[in-house]
Amino acid sequence: MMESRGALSKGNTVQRVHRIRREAEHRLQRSGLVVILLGSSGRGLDERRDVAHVLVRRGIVALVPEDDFPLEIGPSVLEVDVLERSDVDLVFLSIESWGAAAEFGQFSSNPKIAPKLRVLVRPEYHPVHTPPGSYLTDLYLTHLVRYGHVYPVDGGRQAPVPSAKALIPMLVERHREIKAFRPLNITK
Amino acid sequence: MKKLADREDTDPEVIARLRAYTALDNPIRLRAFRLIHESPGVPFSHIARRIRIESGLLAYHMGVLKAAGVVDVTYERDGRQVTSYRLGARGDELFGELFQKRASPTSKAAKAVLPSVVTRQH
Repeated sequence: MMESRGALSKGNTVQRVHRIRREAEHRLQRSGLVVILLGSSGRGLDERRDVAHVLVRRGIVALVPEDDFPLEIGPSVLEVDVLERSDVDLVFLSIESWGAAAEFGQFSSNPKIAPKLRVLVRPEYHPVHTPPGSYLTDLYLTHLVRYGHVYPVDGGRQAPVPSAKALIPMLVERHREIKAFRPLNITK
Repeated sequence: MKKLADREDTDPEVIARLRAYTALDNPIRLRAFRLIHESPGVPFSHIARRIRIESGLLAYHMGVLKAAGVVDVTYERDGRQVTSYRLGARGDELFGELFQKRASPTSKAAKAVLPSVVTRQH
C-alpha cells in the first residue's frame, strides 16, 4: 500500500497511535477499553443501547453488534472464534432469552473467553438469590465460583439476599466439586 | 470514587480521543482506517479482500471503528445487503494528524493530550 504524502512509516504510525492512547489514559487515569454488549433483542436491545451511550461518554468503545456490525455478517459469526481472537476487553452478556443462555454455555466453557465474560441474570435465576434448581442456574453457580462475575440485575427490584451461613457453604461446596473433578479449572 | 463523566477536570475532547485512539490502536483497524480514507464509501467485502482476514473478525474490527465514532456507515439493500464505510469528521481529523502532518502542539487536537507530556518532560 502506498504511503500518503508526508506520512510516517507504518511501524512508526502504530507506535505513535499507541503512545497517544497511553497519554490520554495517563491524563484521565483510566484505561481505554473495548467492550461488547450481548443479549436479547427487543427491550434488551434498547437497554444495551442505553448502556453503550453511557459508556461512550466515558471514553469506552462499547459495541452493540446489532448496530455496529456490518449487515453482511450474521450475528452468530461473532461467536467463539472472534471473541477468542479479538482484543475485546470485556463481554457483557444479559441473559433474557434461550439464545443468550445458549451463548453463555458456549462462552463459559471456553477458557479464552470466560475470564472476559460478565454475566447479567435476573435475581430469580441467580444462584445467590435463588437456590439453583435448574441446569442453567447450576451453571451460573459454577461460573460464579470459577470467575466470580455473575450479577443479578432487575432495575431496582429488591431481591432476597442469603445469609453468610447459607452462601459460604454453597460456594465452598461448588469449589470443592470443581477441584475434585476438574482441578485444572481451579487456579488455587 | 467519582465517575469519570462527573469529574470537573475531565475534558470531553480527551475522552473522545481516548475512545478514538483505543479503536485505532490495532494494526488491522489502522489498515482499514487508511483504506477507508483512500476509498471513501468502500464496501465491507472490499475491505475484507484487501486486508485478508476472516470476515467475522473483520466485522468485529469494523464495529470497533464505528462504535468509536471514527467511521460513518451506510447500509444499502440492492439485491443483497451492502455495508459501506467512510471516515467521519473525527476520522478525518485523526487521519490528518497521523498521516499528513505531525501534530502541531498548537492544534486543538494535540492540546487535548500533549500538555501532560510537556509537563512531565520538564
